[in-house]
Amino acid sequence: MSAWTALAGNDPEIRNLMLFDGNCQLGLSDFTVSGAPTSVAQLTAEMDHRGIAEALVYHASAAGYNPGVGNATLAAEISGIPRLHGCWVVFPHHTGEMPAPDLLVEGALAAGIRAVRMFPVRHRFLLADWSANELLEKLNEHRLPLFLDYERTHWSENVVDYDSVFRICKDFPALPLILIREGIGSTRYLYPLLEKLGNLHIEISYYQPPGGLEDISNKFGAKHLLFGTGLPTYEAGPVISMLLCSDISSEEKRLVAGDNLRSLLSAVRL
Amino acid sequence: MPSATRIIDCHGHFGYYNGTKIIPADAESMIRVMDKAGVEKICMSAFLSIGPDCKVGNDMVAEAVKKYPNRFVGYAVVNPNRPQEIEGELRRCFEDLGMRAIKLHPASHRVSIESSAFKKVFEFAANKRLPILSHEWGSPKFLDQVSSNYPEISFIMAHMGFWDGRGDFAYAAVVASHENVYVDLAYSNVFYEALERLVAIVGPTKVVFGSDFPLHDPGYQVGRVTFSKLPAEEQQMILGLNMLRILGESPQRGNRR
Repeated sequence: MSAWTALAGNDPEIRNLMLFDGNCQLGLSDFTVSGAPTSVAQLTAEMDHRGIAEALVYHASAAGYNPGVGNATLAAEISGIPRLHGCWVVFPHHTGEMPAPDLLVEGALAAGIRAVRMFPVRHRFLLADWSANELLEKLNEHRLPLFLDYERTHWSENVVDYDSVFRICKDFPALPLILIREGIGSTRYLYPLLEKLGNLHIEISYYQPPGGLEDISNKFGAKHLLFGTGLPTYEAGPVISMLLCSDISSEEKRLVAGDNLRSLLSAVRL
Repeated sequence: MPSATRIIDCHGHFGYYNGTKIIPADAESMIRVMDKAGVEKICMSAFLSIGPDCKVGNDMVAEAVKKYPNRFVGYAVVNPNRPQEIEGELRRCFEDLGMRAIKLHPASHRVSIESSAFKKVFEFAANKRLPILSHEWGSPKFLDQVSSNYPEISFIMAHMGFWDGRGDFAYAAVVASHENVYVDLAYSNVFYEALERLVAIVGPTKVVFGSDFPLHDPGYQVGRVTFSKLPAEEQQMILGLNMLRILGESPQRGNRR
């Protein structure tokens, strides 16, 4: 199709994708601009405008202030909004700022949380075994998808600890690990990982190599790709347009658009 | 693609890039991707030209343009590190190879755009009334001076002047006050409503669509305009009509001025 026709969310081709945004933030961050959709009402209106059916959301204050505070705020704000699915921000417990892993995961599951997100750079912790394994073991036990956000701001940055990504995926094969905001400069890091790791997934809000979705789908399978937007920092339109224009089958488009994420969330062990 | 809408990409490349895998690295593969995104024509320079060998890169682009003249427009590239070669290479590009504009990449060639080496380029371009797309244009003061000194040249500022849509757009006054200065959209990051803010500052006639294809996906980059909140007529200016005017082409298909 031509991207020119993909103007708004009421386009039937977009609606049919049943888009499920895996990379969406609620609330104000340090760099949110005026007019960006930060409240539940604004965000769901933006999703309607873009034709996004559902979103996995974390709270900006969980990343930018305190995970405990932000995760609680998230629960209160998205309560009763079934198209918004909560994602807790977590990090290892050793400092006492986080509950012990068993309590943390038990609390998350009881609160209806089906995915977690980590910010290793912003929150200054390592994913080495001696730092993160206790928490990773619990996530693995429950198959709780882990969204790993190194907050890449440009494709040329080497910000991701790919050695740790490889180790975690290998040591915890039941744990789905999703890399956020991979870009065109990531392919030579990602391909050897995707060759070897069935539980590694790429969120595509910034992944724009021409033919890139096709190449990964053909070589490794569309199951590795998850739709995301980066709202409200980034626009949702470009990634939707890219998905519509991509040369993958309509079945693969639906998987990438949302069904892969739905499968991961429904596979969580309670 | 509706016949009323023409998508002309002002910022493309050709061939391989050292820093990442390029999948559509030949003309035919590029056209297949362009067709999917509804892009009619792309103005392109070779990665090789903005890298180590501008002459061989210019030859590669010329060959693709010769094969697909309705899909590709060639940018001539010169290397300011070898100023004695600039004039000869520009003559070769425009007299023999059929190039229609000039692309400069001062960052890649590690020479400031304010260097005297580029004076020959500006004089050549002014003499032939050529557009110049540059990766950067230095300080706003420099762009103000050079665009005043050479009113015959259309100056295209790549990558939105590296503005992320927050704070002040440093080139706002220069773009707004010079008819011959334009802003190209090619930028990997698409910040929320940054395009709408840019258009509010400089106006819809001063913004031209660019993608950096085949580095970036044209479907993704087209989406920054087609999914924007700009009115349809402004989207059409940005997507194609402005660049057609810069190239001296008719807004109607098939009628080259």
